[in-house]
Parts: sequence; structure tokens; C-alpha cells
Amino acid sequence: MEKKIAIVFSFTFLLIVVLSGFIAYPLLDFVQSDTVAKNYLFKVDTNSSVNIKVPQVNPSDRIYLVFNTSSRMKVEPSLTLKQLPYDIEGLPYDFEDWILFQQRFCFIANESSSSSTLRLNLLDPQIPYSVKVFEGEANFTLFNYIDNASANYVGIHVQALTNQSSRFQQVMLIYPYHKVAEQNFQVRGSLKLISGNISYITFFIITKDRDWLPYRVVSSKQMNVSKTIDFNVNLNNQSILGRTFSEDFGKQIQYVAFSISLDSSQWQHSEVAYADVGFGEIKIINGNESTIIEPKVLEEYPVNCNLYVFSKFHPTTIYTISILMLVFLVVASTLMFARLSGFKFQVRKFFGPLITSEAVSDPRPNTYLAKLFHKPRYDRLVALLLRFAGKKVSILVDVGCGKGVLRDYLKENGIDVNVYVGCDVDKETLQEVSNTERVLCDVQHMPFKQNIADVIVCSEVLEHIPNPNLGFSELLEVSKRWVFVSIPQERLKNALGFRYLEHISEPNPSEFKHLAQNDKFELVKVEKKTFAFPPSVFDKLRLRYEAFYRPIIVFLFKILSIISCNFSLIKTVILVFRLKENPRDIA
Amino acid sequence: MSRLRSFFQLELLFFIIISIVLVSLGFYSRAGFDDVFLRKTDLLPFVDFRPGYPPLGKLPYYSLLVLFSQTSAYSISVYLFNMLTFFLVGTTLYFCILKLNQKRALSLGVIFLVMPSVIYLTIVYSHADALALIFVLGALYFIENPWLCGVLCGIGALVKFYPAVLLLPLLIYYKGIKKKTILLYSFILTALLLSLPFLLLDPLMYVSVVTSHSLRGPSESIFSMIDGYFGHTGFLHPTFDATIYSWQFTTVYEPSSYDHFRYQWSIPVLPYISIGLQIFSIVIISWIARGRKDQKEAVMLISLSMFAYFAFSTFYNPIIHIVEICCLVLATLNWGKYAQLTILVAFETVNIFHSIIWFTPVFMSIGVMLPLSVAVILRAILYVTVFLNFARRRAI
Repeated sequence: MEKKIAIVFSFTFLLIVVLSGFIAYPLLDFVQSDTVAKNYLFKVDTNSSVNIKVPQVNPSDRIYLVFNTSSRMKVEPSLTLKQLPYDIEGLPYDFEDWILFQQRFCFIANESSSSSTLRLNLLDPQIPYSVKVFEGEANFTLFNYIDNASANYVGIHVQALTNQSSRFQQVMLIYPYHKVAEQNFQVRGSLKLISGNISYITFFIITKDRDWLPYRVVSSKQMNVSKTIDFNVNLNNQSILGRTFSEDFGKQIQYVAFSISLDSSQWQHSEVAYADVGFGEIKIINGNESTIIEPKVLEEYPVNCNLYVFSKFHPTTIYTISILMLVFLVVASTLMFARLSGFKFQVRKFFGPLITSEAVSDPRPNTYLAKLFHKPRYDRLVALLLRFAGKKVSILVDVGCGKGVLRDYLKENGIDVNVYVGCDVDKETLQEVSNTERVLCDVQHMPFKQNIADVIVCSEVLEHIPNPNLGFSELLEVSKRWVFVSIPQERLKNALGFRYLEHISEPNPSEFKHLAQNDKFELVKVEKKTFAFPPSVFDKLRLRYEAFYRPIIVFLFKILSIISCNFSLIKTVILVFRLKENPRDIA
Repeated sequence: MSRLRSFFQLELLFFIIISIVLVSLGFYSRAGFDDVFLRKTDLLPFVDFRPGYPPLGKLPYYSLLVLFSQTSAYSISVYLFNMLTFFLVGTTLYFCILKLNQKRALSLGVIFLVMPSVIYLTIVYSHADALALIFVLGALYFIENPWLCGVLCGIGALVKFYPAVLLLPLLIYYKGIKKKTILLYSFILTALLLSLPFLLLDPLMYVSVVTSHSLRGPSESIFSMIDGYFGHTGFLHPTFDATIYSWQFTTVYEPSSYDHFRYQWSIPVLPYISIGLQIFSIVIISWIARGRKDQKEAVMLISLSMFAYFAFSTFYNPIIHIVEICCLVLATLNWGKYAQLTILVAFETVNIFHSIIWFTPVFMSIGVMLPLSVAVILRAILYVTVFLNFARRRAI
């Protein structure tokens, strides 16, 4: 057996590897040529636009643009392209080089095209800083400002949005500065409030470790309109958080930044908080080096752009077939291997505390399993009995009666049985059936006269015996009118290896039908029942809606029930046999 | 049965208490960032877009958003789903303990349910980690049956990737080629069948969901501290970055020491040390468990190997604590009652401290580096305690 397993396993494994190769080859081939990259350099004016030509694209290809500038811009695609939003909640503030000093856009191609274009409009002039709204909601515009003394300033107009949710607005001007702070680190410069009102202006050192070290530059009290303020952030300044400047020496700086803060409470209700602030020349002294940030504002400037066309994979028919074959092969080889190696799904063993062995064999409706599986079965069986045999039964033989649960159900449903005879092979179980006739016997050898019982019920018994046909013939012998048989349908479950050990045979309804015909019985009802989710739920829903007469919904649930019933592992078939018109004489 | 009933009654009581707390505190669930993006752009997850989680971890939340949009019904449905997950984790853990140590099942089950960070991170700030844990615990419960283990690991791996790691200790644990093959086949079969729709539509995007994680950097672990990365899980990239394949993503971003999603290690050997330690510890511990007939010992050792996987990971996030604490509960079942309780409470305390670093203004103002380092070092000490105790017990 081991050798057989090894051969089957090796063969299927080899097949899977070969098929995987077939699948992987076109994918790897695609990956090697799925990107087209182009670089463009434009000289752009803020008052005009530039067209960017996109190379050939196919449906669903992504066009990805990276502009190496912090200036805000608008890119309008031609009809064949659809722009994707940066994200849903707007541009997040974050302080990384590529976010601060780059602009990114992404588009999806709707159709194949070799003539798509992107129209680029710059919204800001070029300044040395990257500008971000950090707190609250505000608009800003940038401009060049020259004062009476002919000094140049980078002008920024900050205005709070009228429907602001926050009282404070903070806009930051960020400058990349990748150096370690030395002992003599200081920042000098001049700034001017051109119009409006500010709450304060703060200088920040943003370190590589995400520490933000703020120093007050100027507050609203110190700042008057048109007054130039020279500032110097150095050893004498105290950090806003109470830390001394000297604590920050030796830190790895990533950016330096100025923030302009507006406070709406400084304004009347009808007014909108705003400020026009000019930043003059800024000098950063650090060790032996000094860096000057010149207040340059350029309306026309060069913009570098990288354009990528990222192809999207479209599965071919061969690929689809190969994948399906692979899945089939894995399913088949797994089942084959399981069958050969004799693995079984042993429900009782593994479901431990949830399903005890008692619960499996005891169909009384007070255990979990009984509620789930056995109760609906008995309900249905009794309903059929009521429909065909009627409310009065003279002699009823319950073959494989267990603890006599059926009798309780019959009583509950108002079926009057004169003589109830319970038969079972288990003596101990049979002893629990009280106040009735009890017969210890096997279904294959029942000690009854022929045609003695009006009704014979044999539910979930025949699969426990080696020859179910013999057992069924015995039932026909004993009955003079009705035989109710239920047998589990376990082919799929058994094929998957989930076989109950005590189910030693697979009774066949068509063979029963044949046997019944030979014995002058006719099959009057075949009903397939599934007692597990989802078919049982669909059935319940169907019955509920049937009451309201909603044919479409009922039909839908019926279809769903039929489909899911076929895939269900736990189902049973109830067969009702009746003796043909000329009943046999009672022996 | 009465014990089981008591546990379910307690769970019901918790359900009521937590619901009242959530309603009174006014917590609400916000739809995931990716989910809203997908809804507004009509892109298909795993076909046009690579989310951060595998399909079964992502699609329940996305489906709820599709069903209820961003309404209060969505918020309620997410809470209900999270609560169901929370109680299912609690129940599976309870069953696992019940199988191994009946006396402690109820008390440990309740201790797990009352852990504040477990409640918060599963119900309020939920991730797929907790959902995947149900399958990991299920596989540990059915450890004797390689079929079920393979199927559960397969389903779990499609919720979050870490249940797939359980395959390694299980492969070592099972003796004989039959069981190993059954485990592998059932895992592959389950994963393949559940992945089939995505493999048919765009296999490369589906694969990208996995491969994009290989580009990620460390987070809040001792390895990230050594490497000098103090970020959480990195800053936000444009959401549209997830519409391109992971290798295409590498063409538009240079690796850097501050980009979590395209990370460049300052000390390049660190990730290899981490992986080496993970594999070494899993192999050693599972080897000890190999072929053991005593299920209690086998489950304890395999839980410990999973715990080691997280302990030596370069990535830590407070949400991982839920998985870690469950593994720890099972791995320390042979400890004394009070010793076990102490180590669980210690881990919980450190995790609470770790979690609040990001929300407490005091810590934010002094910088996260110091408190984060303290949390990481404290946790490292607890890891060492667990492993030393394990070594000492083995030596005895």
C-alpha cells in the first residue's frame, strides 16, 4: 500500500509541477515587460498648461505620474483615462521627502488608445518651501512680495475656511535640512505681517525620529501689520514644551519648518480669519556651515516628470483552463491519497465536548444533535404518516425503535395507535421503552406473523445491517398496508471520508422499489430531506413565505433548497410504500 | 455540559456589558480606508486593488460596507461581527483548554474575556488577526487530525497569513509521510479552492497582496528599535498605490529607512537574524513535540512555537497581542496556577502600556522613543522569562 501511495503521490505531484510551470510561464513573461517608463522635463508657467502624451495603453492599464515638485498642480486626463483619487479623505499631511516635494497621480485606462493625453496646470509658483495645511481647514495662495525698502519676500495668504470645524488653523512651510544639530545651531531671518492677523509663528525642528521641537518665533502681540521682524532662534530660546534648546543638540534633523497659526476667536463672527505673511531671507548656521534660503518666487520654472504605464494582466483562455485543471488535479489527488491511505473523518473522536457519543446515538430531542438532525426527521415522518395512514392506526411496528421516541411524536401529533410494538437489537435501550409491547429482534429476522401490522416504520436502521434488501423484504412481509422507511443519503459524505463507522451498508432506494413491486407494494412517496444548514433554512423560509403566498420568493427558496440539498452532507430519503388495491388477507 | 453552559452564560453577560459600555461611550466604527476607496472607485478588491489582508480577512468588512454604506447600521453590523469574532475566539480557546486542562478552562476563558486590550483590540479597533485566531485554535484543538488541521490552517491563512506558519510545527510534529502529506494537501486544496475566483481573475494582483508584505519594514519590535525605526506602521501612501502590482510599486519608490512600505534596513542583517531565530525556535520546540502521544504536551509545545514566532518577529503591533496571549495561555498550562496568571497579567499590562503610548499626549510630547523602548524592553524580559521557564522545565 505504501508503494502504491508513493507512486500515486509522485505522479500527481509531477503533474501538478508541470501544470504549475504552464501557468507560471506566461505570468513571468508578462511581469518582465509590464512597465513602460518615460521621463519628461517641462518648463511650465503658472498661467499656461502643458500636454503630456501617454504611450499606447490597453484597458485597465495604470498610468502613474511622479512630479518632482512641491507645487500644487492639476492634471486633467483625456476621455480614455480615468483619474483615481489620491485617497478618500483628502491628501494626508505627512512629513516625508516624497510627499512634501513630489506630486503623484494615477489613472486607469478605460480602453485601448495610442492617443491619450494628460493636461498639466500648475497652481502655485515655485518657492523654496513645501507648504502644507497641518491643522484645521484653510486655503493658501503663494505670491511674490516686495516691500517699500525693495526687499523680497515669499508671500503666503492663509485663510480659514468659513465652515471650519476647528478654531485653529496651522499652515507649515517646510524646508529639507538633513544635518545633525551642532552646538551653535541657529536660524536667523526676517518676516513681515502684510495684512490680517496671526495667532503666532513657530519654528520647528523635525528630527529623523519624528520628534517635533517647536520654538516660538513671534506671537500676535509682537506682530503689527507692515512691521518687519527680525528673529533669531538660538541657544537663548526656550522650547515651547519647556525644554531647553541645548537638549536638542546632536539630533539628526530632517526638516526645519515655520508654522503660521490663525485663531478664529481673534476675529468677529462675521469675519473670516486670514493673514498675509512674508518670509524674507532665512539663514541657518550649523557648525561651520551656513545655509541661506532665498525668498525666490518663480512663476515659470522647470518641472521633472516620470511617467509609468503599468500593464494589467488579462487572463487568457489557456491560463484559465490550466488553473482549473490544476485545481481539479489537486482535488483528485487529495481525495485519492486520502482513500489510499485510509484516512477517515472521525466525528465522535474529534468533536469532543460538543458531540458526545451519547448525543450521536440518542435521538431524544433534548440533545444538540437530536435537535439539529433527528427532530426534523421525526417531524416529517409523522407528518407523512398522518397524511397517508390517517389518525387511527391499529397496529404499528417501530423497527429500530431505540428508546421509543417515535411513540412520543405520534402522541404529540394526535395519532391514535392501538398497539405500538417497539423492536430493537439493543436490550438495554429497549428496556427504557415503557408501557408498550417490546420485542428484542433483528430487522432481518423478525418474529412476527405475515401481514400483521397496519403500519411499519423503519427509520435510519437499514444502513446498520449488512444486507439492507433482506431487512426491507422482511418489513414488506410483516406489513399489511403501509411501510415507512427512511435511509440516509451518504454517498458524498462517504466519498469524502466522513463515514460513520456504524453505517456498514448503503441502502439503495431503487432496489427497494423493485423489491416492493415484486411484493405487490407501490412506492407512493419519495421525499429527500436535509436537516442541516443551509437547505433546512431555505425550506423553513419557503414554508414561511408560502403562508403569505409569494410565489417568486417561494420558488427562489425552493431552487436554493434543491441546489444546496445536493451539496449537503447530512440528508436522508423517506420512502412510503403502500400495498396495491387488493390487500393481502391477514394470515 | 454545565461548565460549557456557565461559560456561554458568562459570554452572554459580557456581550450585554460590552454593548452597554460601547453605546454609553459612543464608540462607532469607521469604515476602513481601503474599503471606502474601493466603494467610491468601483474597483474590485484582489483584482484591481491589493488590500492589506487576504480575502477572508478583508471581505467581511467590505461586504458590510457594501450592504450598509457608511451608516449607523454599518457601525452596528461591524460591532456585532467583531463581538461574534471575540466570543468565537473565547469559545475556541475555552474548548482547547477544556481538552487539555479541565480545571482551568473556565477561569482562563474568563481571564481572556476580561482582558481590556483584548476587548478593545478585537471589538473596537478590530483587525483580521482575531478572526484568524479562531482557525489557529481550531487546528490546535483538532491536532490529531491532519485533515482538519490542514483545512483550518488553509482557511486561516486566507484571513491573515500567520496561520500558515502553524504548518511548519505541525509538519514536524506529525510522524510519517502520510500525515504530513495529508496536512499539506488539505492546506493547499483549501487555500487553492478559496483563492480560485481571484486566481482566475488576476493572479498577479492576488500574489501581490502577499509579496507587498515582503517590502515592509519592522514595527515596534526590538529589531525596529535596534534599527532606529520608531514609526507605527508607517505613514500613509496614496491609496491608489495599491492599484499597481507590488513589483511595479518598487519602481516608483526608492527604499528608505523611513518608509515602512518600502523599507531599507539600516542594519541589513537584522531581518535575517529575526527569520533565523523564528525558524530555529519553531523547529527546536516542534522537534521536542514530535510524535508525542500526550496531546496536552503536543498542543502546549506547538503553541509555544507559535508564540516564539511572534516573539522573534521584526513586526509588533498591539493587535498581535491577542494571538500572542492565546498561544501563551496554552503554552503555560503546565505552569503553576499563580505563575501562569502572573505572566498573563504581565503581558497584558505591558501591552496596555504599549498601546496607550500612541494616544497619550504626555508620551507624544516627550517623544515616543523612550516609552516605546521601555515597552519593548519589558516585553523582551517577559519573552525571556517564558523561554527560560520552558528550558528549565525541559531540563528537569
